[in-house]
Amino acid sequence: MKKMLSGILSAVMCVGVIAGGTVPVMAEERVVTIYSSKDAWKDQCAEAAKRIEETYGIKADVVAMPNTDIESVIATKLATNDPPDIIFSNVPQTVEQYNITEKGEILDEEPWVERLAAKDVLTYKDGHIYGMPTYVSGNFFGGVYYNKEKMKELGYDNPQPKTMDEFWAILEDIKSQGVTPVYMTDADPWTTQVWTTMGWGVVLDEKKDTIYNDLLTNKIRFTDIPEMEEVLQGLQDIYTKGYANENHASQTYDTSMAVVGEGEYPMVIQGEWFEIAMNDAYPDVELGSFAIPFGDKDMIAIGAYTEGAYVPKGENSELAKEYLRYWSSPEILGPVFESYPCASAWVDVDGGDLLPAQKNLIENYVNTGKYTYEFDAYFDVARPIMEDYLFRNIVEVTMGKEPAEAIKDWDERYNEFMRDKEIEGFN
Amino acid sequence: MKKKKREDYLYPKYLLLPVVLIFVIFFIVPVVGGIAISFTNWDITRSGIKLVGLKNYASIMRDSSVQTAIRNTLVFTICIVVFRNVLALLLALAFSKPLKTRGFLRTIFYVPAVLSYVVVGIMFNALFQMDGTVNQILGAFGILCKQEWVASADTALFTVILEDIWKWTGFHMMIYIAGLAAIPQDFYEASRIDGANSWKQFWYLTLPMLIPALTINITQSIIGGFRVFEQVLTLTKGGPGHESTVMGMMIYEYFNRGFYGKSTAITMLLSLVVVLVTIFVRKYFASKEVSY
Amino acid sequence: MFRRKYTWRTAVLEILMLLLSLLVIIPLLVVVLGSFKTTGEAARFNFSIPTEWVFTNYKDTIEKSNLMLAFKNSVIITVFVVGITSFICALGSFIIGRRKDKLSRFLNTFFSLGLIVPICVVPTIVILQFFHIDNTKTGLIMVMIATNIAWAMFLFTNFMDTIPRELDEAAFIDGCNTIRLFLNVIMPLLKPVMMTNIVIVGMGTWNDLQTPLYLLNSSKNLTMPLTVYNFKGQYFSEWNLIFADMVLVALPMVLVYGVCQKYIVEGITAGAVKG
Repeated sequence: MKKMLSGILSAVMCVGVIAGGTVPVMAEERVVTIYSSKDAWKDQCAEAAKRIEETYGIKADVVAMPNTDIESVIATKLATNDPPDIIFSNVPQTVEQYNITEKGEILDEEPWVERLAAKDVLTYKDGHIYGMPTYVSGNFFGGVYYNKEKMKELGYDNPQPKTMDEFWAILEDIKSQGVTPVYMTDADPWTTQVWTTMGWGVVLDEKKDTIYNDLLTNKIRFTDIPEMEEVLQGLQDIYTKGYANENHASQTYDTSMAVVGEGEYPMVIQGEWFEIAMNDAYPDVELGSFAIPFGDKDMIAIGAYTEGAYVPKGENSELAKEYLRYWSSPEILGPVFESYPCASAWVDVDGGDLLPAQKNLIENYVNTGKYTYEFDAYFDVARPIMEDYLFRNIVEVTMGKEPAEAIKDWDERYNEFMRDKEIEGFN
Repeated sequence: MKKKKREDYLYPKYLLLPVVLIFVIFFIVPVVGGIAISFTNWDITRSGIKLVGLKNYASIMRDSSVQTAIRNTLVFTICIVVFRNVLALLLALAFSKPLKTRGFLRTIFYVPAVLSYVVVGIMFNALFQMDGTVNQILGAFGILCKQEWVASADTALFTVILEDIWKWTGFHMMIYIAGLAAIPQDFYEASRIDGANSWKQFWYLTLPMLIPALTINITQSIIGGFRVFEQVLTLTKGGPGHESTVMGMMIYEYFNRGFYGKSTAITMLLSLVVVLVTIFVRKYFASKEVSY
Repeated sequence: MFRRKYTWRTAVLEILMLLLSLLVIIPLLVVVLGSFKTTGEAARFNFSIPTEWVFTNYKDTIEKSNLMLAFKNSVIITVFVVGITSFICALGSFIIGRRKDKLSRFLNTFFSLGLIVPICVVPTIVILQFFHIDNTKTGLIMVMIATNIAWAMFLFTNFMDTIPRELDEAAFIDGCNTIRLFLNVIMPLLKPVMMTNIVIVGMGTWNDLQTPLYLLNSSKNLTMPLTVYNFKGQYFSEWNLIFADMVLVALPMVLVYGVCQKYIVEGITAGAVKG
């Protein structure tokens, strides 16, 4: 019965193959399948892949899809034992999400490990390295990025507020000149939460050695931390005091480039990705930056992850590892960095000159040690519910929800999630 | 005895094999698999899978987002069943008049049904934002409106319902047009001679003869209503927060979190509800079936 | 119901209908006009006429999205799904409709399960892996046929009774066997329903984003709906190209419907006059 069925199906497939013109891959051709979100597969990556194909003959079959889709597709493929050869994702942020400790190769012995510029960021909490950076050494240098010319017009040349009062004063002054200071894009919750992930990271910096562990083992609840409500209230103040655009709730991130580029709104609260995008879209517009002095502190919160690649365990994993070794080499990445400068992930590959606004933050805060990690970084285990129940609650706060209520809702959801996962301490 | 053998020969069962086989292998078997999974704690971020009985069902019922989803799904279904069909019927009736631009209008009204949800979602997001076309048009009529139709808690679901009606009314209209065209003209002549006015004609002649079209349209609306998902996914994603979420959206959310057991549990729960409602509706219409 | 005379009331109705159709036309206009604008202008989402008509958007979209490949894939998948579903369901509902025994009643209810229960992705993939057709167009086609069977059976069984049994008897007396009867007599009479089915199943298959996303995700197997997302990045969207893509994705189905719609209504009308 099954044979007859397979026969029929094979016949149909043959027709399909003939009609579709796809030819099964021969054994000699070396191909790795890469699954990536559309945004992670940048032009730089396509360039690197092209160079590897020309130099070493390994082709990359890339499946790039929008963020939310690619995440569930990757998860499904891992669940059905049909993983791609390489997964592009934020490493090591998504190790729990994809169960990489079980399904991914350990890359500790790879030759490129010694050449890493930021090894500790990459190392997962169990001491192993599961992912290789594909480009930069670290991501997320957040703060206020602003249109220099527009700010000069408003009377501000390189503002660097050192206290929150100074910060609010700048906003109030710009408002009094008839300009709305900040452009928020709350239809994309991941942009809204830049404020909180930085703010919470900074104000909790003194307690960071204990508080995050306590939260992760249920010794303390989010609702027990008054600083959280304060920072969230600060976010709400931006709106209630009229410092933000009225249509913030329906604007998506991609609209922010035009409004800053054309000088309609001077400031956004974003990360270095904004400058990189502006460099493409409005190369003549100069951007400046300053760190938001949460808690009147002189430090910024940065990301503890980088855009990278995992190698799932599978039949092609040796070829995949070889591919990544080539990727990380100076011959491949060097020329790519020349056209797209950044903070290179490799000590022996020059990333070129950083773009000015992020350079300002990196040189003045990261290189001088005045940094801590963002709040979100500590809760990678809860990544699956972050968008739905943390980010969205933060967006609701921008629409009027009480910060205390938002934190309470997140706290309950987090608790329930951790209980479902049977994490120690949560019953 | 002889008749049955003749039936078997004339209308042999083996001709049913293709449709039954494909249906069973590629649909029924996965569904059975799904039911089985709904009783486990399968979570892709961990290994090890064990049976947990009804624990998944209990936990999803306690989830306040699921409760909101149930409520929204019911509201959504009732609204679209009523509005899609009433509007579609009115449009179909209008087409029974000799309109000059009939062909053009019929195509125009149907086009939204042909578009993918991605397209419609992007369009409606653009139209209904605070500075979007809808508010601009309202402004032209002197109504100053700064409502964020899609992003506000009170109007999000309403916008989704509006989008659905916009997209599907034309589709139902076509089925009603076909249904109306199947009613023989002589019946109307006869009833007019008997002194019936337009309203009586509609109520006692048109409507009963439309029962097949009504059955198809109403069944499809109900099922489409309960299974609402892509409309929400491409328009509000269930937001703000989870105000406009629906059952289909919650299945997707749990699936994305890797909780396959719970996700399939919601699917099964939803299916159960739809089965019950459909049985009830079919019985109601079967009892009203009429033929001349 | 047909009043032949075009009175002033009819004229008023016609104007009303045309105004109503604006509700449909305006959103579509935003998309169609936007597909000829520059990126910046298209991002404003209004229905103004483009200041400069950018005709290269369509060419750019086709090249950058690999639209020809997606088109080919979508066509293959849709044609197979529509063709196979229509045939086996017409055949199946014919047998069920004529037999009217316990098996038929059971199957009717059995198939309607497909209307109610949505697809369960992971077990479906496992089944495809079992037959070694996972990640192939064949596998996707099989699954999409299965998901469409319920609706097609529903449609066909509802109309099967309108074809009188006497025709069968006449054909059998003439020496026809069942298959010939089905192909030469029944199928032609099913034309309006068949057309409706083609439009519905075709539409559903062509526009399906979720199923191919999970079952068929190699870059060689791109389908049309997915291409719309190509220009919508998290960080930057080229709306004019998105709009052009949307128009290209929607066009085939609009054309198919345009062609089929006369058959649907005419066919049913002809059936009524005859009956």
